Amino acid sequence: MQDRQTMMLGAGASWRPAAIAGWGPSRRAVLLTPLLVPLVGRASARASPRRVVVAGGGIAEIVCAVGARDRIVGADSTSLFPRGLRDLARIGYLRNLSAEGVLSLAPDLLLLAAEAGPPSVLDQLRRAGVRIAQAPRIHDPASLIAAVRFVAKALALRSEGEVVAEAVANDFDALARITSSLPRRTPVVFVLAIGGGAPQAAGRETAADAMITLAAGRNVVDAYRGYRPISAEYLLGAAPDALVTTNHTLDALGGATGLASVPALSVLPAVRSGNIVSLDSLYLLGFGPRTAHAARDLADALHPGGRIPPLPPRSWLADDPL
Amino acid sequence: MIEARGILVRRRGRRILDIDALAIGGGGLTCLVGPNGAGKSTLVRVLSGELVPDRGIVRLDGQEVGAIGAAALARRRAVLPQATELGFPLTVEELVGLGRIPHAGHATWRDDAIAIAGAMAEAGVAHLAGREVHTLSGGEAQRAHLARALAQLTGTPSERAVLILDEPTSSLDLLHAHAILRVAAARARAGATVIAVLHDLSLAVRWGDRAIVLDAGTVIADGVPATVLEEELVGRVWGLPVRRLSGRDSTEMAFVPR
Amino acid sequence: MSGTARLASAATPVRRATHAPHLAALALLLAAVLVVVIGSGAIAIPPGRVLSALAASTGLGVTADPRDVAVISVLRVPRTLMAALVGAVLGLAGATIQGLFRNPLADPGLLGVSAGGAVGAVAIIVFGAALVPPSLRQHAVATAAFLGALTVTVLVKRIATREGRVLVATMLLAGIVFNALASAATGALIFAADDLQLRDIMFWTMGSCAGADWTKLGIVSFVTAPLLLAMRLLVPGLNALILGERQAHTLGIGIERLKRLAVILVALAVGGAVAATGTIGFVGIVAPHLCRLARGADHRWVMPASALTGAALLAAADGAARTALAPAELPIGIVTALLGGPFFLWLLLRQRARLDGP
Repeated sequence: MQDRQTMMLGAGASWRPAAIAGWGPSRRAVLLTPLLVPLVGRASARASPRRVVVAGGGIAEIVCAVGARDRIVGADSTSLFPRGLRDLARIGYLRNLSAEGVLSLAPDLLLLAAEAGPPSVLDQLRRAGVRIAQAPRIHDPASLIAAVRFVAKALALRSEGEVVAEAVANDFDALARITSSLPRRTPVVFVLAIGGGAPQAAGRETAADAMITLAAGRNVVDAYRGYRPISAEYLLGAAPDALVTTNHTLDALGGATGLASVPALSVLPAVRSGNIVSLDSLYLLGFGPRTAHAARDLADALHPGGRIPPLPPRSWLADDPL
Repeated sequence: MIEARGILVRRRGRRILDIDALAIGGGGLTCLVGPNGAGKSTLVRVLSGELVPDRGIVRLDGQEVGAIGAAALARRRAVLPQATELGFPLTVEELVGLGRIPHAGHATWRDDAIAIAGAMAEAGVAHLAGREVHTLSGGEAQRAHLARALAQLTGTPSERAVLILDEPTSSLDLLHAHAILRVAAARARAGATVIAVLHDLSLAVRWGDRAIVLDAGTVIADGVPATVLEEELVGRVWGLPVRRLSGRDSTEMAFVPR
Repeated sequence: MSGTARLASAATPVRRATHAPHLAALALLLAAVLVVVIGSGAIAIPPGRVLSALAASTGLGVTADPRDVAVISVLRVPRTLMAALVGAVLGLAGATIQGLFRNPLADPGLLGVSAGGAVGAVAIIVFGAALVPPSLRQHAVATAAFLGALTVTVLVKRIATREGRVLVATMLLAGIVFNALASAATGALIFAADDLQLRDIMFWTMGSCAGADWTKLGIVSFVTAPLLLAMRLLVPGLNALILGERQAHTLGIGIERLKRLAVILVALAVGGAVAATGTIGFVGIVAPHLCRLARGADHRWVMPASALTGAALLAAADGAARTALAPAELPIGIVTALLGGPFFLWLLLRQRARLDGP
């Protein structure tokens, strides 16, 4: 009886033991059980959500890293790693989620990246009673580690989360030690696919910019924020040593030869000498738990002969077998 | 000389035009008159070669109209419609210059310039050469369009030229209506075949040397206007009893409803 | 010749009406614009070195700084020439369509050319990775845009043709319908696109000459040459058309042939332009209009002048697009809209009086 009282108080129930003080323990148990079961059910769900829907590739990777992959019942279109996530029920594009899609999965928890939207759909979901946990924006190692802890807490997997957070923190520390020993910061430009016009280059305050810095590079484009079409002459004058892009972009252009035929890029010595670094978009720009490894790989590509040691292998690096 | 033989034009099952034989030559102004819906415009389009009849042949100086090349035909035959809406603003001189388009390759720029100047003088719009057409009064604009038709015919000997005026005076005041017809009549007397579709019977009598009365697609009467357009016929064909008032001579006549 | 003609030749000295000196002046203006634009950019190169770079790249045995050569002959000259070519095409096509529709506010977009091109390009941007083998991906967007432009124009013309006659009013309505359909199709494709593709789509529709290289320039010249060369053939017909179809017919013009030829040439040329540089607006309306305001509506003046004016306008706009906000590049469609929009408004206000007039 005492235990049940405590539990119910803990669950926010309000009743006065004095009102039914006259009843025997078994009677009270019988009367109160129907009340208790749903309350207990909800409490344990909050404690440990079983049906989880995620939006945001990086967030999805964190959920898998803390060991809650089997709880994911639905994901958005940017959750592409590990491969198996693509077979789950789809809830739309990160910034354009489907309210009905989410509700049809009857989730205990909706875990969102900071960029998830639209706000009206999130409101609808809140009003429908869905528990939503939206992570703060991830833009650097510190916020990534905080996000790992946030996700772990929402999933009631604090200890597992701590393990991951520490590992990631260690990886970043190791990376910082490696890069601080490198002689120079390689001047670099990051470009995205071009729709036939000027290449779009990443300026300040972009994920690409952050990754370049982590990889001991220097983004030669610092005159603006975000992505803009860049003047070819400016790029030529800025003389980057390497050009970084995503596999998605390279594919769209038809490979390295295609990229080298874009006039604005064809004049760059970096492109002429084949110093083109291409990585998977989610790996490089997703700011998930693999970020340190991605930055290490980028640093390795940007500092040939720098003999950059690999970081320790982690379970969340492994993709599903084909 | 235009000859039309066995002309039949049908539209939606109705007979619009049914002409057995018709020959119009130069030397005098031929007026085409008749009530609304008589088929005057249709006849004029057939004669000018714009409309191919369902049956029948039109010959221009012995040649079948359909067999004459478009530009060659345009050099011999000019049409002045009732009203023209210009797609873009043009000066009078530019408008008249359009009449020289069919002469490309057949006339020098000097011939063109002389033709344009001559046509503007003949139509009485030389003093308006630099004015934009849309700034002119209705009558002045129509004279400018007449000049275009005249310029189009310059270079073709009078006897072989055909000028067709499709209700050229319907919206003009007395002064401009007479001015247009005076020019047309002068051309006719110089030998050209000139056909004018007219609504105003007084104008037909004043300027026409021959009147063809059309009703329901067939020729009702054909001859000297003063003779053909008598009260009984006019009353019958136009469906309105009229009284004919004569002036001093056979060219001054008015038709007044009784 | 009649007596009155003889009178005229005695009274007034006959002048040859010609537009040649004014066209020559326009050509000089275009040349000047090209020189200025090729000479300017984010990397400052003094005129002497510009000339050496040009000479070196044409294999004249002159030595020049390789970086100068890269900037001038790879980055600046092809795109400036492309801008000039596309500008000429858009100006000429605009003049042709305005002549055909007898309306100074008409533009090739009415036929659905640009909208069709957009559907093709956007479809490849969104689905290209799945549909196109890697070796062909470089040119896939441009090819799809060209095919899209032609397809829509052919459909519009088909619908507007009855018994061998092309009905201009119907063509206008069909163009409106297809513009709407193409918009819907593009919208659906945009819905399916992710962030990166959306950015690509947006910038494609705003237009850019930055992707120009000598090969593309050659290809675009090939598809636009017919319109440029056939310009002379269209002039008499378009002049006669000012009087309306009936009178043009009595002036000996083959109206149906003219309409068919004009629509096909415009579709090819504008389709090629859209494929190369994306959709660029306003030049097709502004250029012919400026020319008509300057020296009247005679197509012997308007056609070549529109081509030269369009070329100068777009080359200048491209120069501005690439230098105004350096190091970022403005999409050229924005430059033409910023200049063309207010001009268009002013024109509309001026036309109002005439359109509402007697």
